[in-house]
Amino acid sequence: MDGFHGTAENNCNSIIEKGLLPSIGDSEWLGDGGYFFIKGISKFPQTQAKEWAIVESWDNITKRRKYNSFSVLKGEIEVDDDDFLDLTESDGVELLNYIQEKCRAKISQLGKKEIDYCDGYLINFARKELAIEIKVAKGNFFIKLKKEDRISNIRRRSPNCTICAVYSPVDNVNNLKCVEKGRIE
Amino acid sequence: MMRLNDKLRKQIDSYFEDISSEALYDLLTVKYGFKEIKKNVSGDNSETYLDCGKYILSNLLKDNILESYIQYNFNNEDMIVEADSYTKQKVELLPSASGEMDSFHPIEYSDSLSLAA
Repeated sequence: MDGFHGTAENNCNSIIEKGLLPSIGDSEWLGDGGYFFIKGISKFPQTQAKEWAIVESWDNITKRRKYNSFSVLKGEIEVDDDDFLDLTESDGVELLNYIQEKCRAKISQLGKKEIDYCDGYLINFARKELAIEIKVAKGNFFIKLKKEDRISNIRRRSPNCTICAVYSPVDNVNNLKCVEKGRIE
Repeated sequence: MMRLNDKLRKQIDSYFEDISSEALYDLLTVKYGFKEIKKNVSGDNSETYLDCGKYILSNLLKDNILESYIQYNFNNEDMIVEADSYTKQKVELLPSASGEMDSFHPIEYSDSLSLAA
């Protein structure tokens, strides 16, 4: 499947030469990995990758842009079925639910202690502790892709994006190339 | 695609049979970053701070103290609930001296809310 990754234009050549570095410790989405917008709930993943790159350029602490031009990279994500966790399908959800229930049942033996389960941490845990080889994970999420969404802190539940996290982009993403560049106004 | 087949189920079950609750809890919260859910002492349906805020507001609405509310911002640092489009009242929910919300009790607290015009 084709995946689109939005980033600063400065990063483009380095990613093409050396490969995409995975994000580590992501708690919100699908765990560690290189992230790509793909076709699914949206027909326009390339546009979403561009919007992501633009909205991510803003540094809310310094109140300045971290970069003034963006690029969108396209890559072919390839993975065996057995290594592909698809959380847009019931089989994938059932697996993650099973792991969560196992954790919850064990933790409940401690009494009052409870923890907040989120997809990304569960996937990291499944991969590293349960030795489940999740090379690519896919899910539908609502992601704030516009400045206005972030200012208003939109908290929609219905998803607007389908994304993939590729644990080792060097191994599972081929033919990375830049398909779009531009200035951020 | 990946599914919960017998092999995976056994693999998962085996892990959880071998690990203690304490070790799992530490692993999840320390190594993997899972956040602990802090309950208030009431043990009722207000298990999280957010639910606690909703519970207080729903009581205020039920008791006609507030007619409606617009929105609420509820986190550890800023315990302020912007409330009531009708009377323009602001409800301030103050954390305990320690900064923890464990001492929050929605029913008792709803009696002692400071309502500022």
